[in-house]
Amino acid sequence: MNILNSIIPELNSRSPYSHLREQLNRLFDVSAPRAPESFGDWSPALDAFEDKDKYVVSLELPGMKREDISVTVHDGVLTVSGERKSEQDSKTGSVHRSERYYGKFTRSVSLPPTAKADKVAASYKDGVLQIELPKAEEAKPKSIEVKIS
Amino acid sequence: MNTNTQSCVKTVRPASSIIHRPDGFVIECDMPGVSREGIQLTVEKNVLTITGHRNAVNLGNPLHRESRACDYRRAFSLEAEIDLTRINARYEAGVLQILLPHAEAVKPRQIAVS
Repeated sequence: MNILNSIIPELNSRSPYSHLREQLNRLFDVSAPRAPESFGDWSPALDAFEDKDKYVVSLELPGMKREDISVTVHDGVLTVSGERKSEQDSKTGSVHRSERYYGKFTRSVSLPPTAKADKVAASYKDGVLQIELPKAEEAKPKSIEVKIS
Repeated sequence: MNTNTQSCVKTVRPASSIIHRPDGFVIECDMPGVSREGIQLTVEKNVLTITGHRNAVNLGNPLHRESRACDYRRAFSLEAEIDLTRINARYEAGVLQILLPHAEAVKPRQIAVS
């Protein structure tokens, strides 16, 4: 199995404006996060990791409420979706400048067959969603001691 | 598993909003992945500087990586009408919110006519 390609984010259809937004971001601020392939209003950055007994997928989702985030696994595809709602501050005052993304998002990841989808667990801390998928027993590396006679 | 927790060298400007309210300004910065202890706010010569230290994420071998945010850094120059002594900040769910109240002198006041 090719480990490096075992978790692959789905290439979703891009929003017609995402390319433009990406270019504008680059024009004004080289350090602005690159807008990855997505559909929806915005696209949170996604990282995936693997260690010997689990896979970890993490998404940057600042300013969300737990109940506004949905995590599902269907046919080997992990999908995180939700909506980032604008704070009520914009109603009580006038927005002077806004660079933050709001609205709906969806990100999907194809899971490797060794990920146990029924044991998926997620936590949300400091604006980062972390999803853990344990590996099936047979996928864990085994060390067998061989006695030399 | 690699237990390296040193910080990244690169700094990123956090995406921010500035909201003008009757009682002052509110600045909100997206700084996911920082702990409250990793945030520093300083005001010097009317410049508000925000820094957020983020430990390198190490949850195993990276398979795919899009997050580029390492340490955050951003500076705002403040207008004279802000009361520097009453600046207040809180950090929740990866968002830093800074309240910058207007100095008493610039608040709208009703003047009684005798």
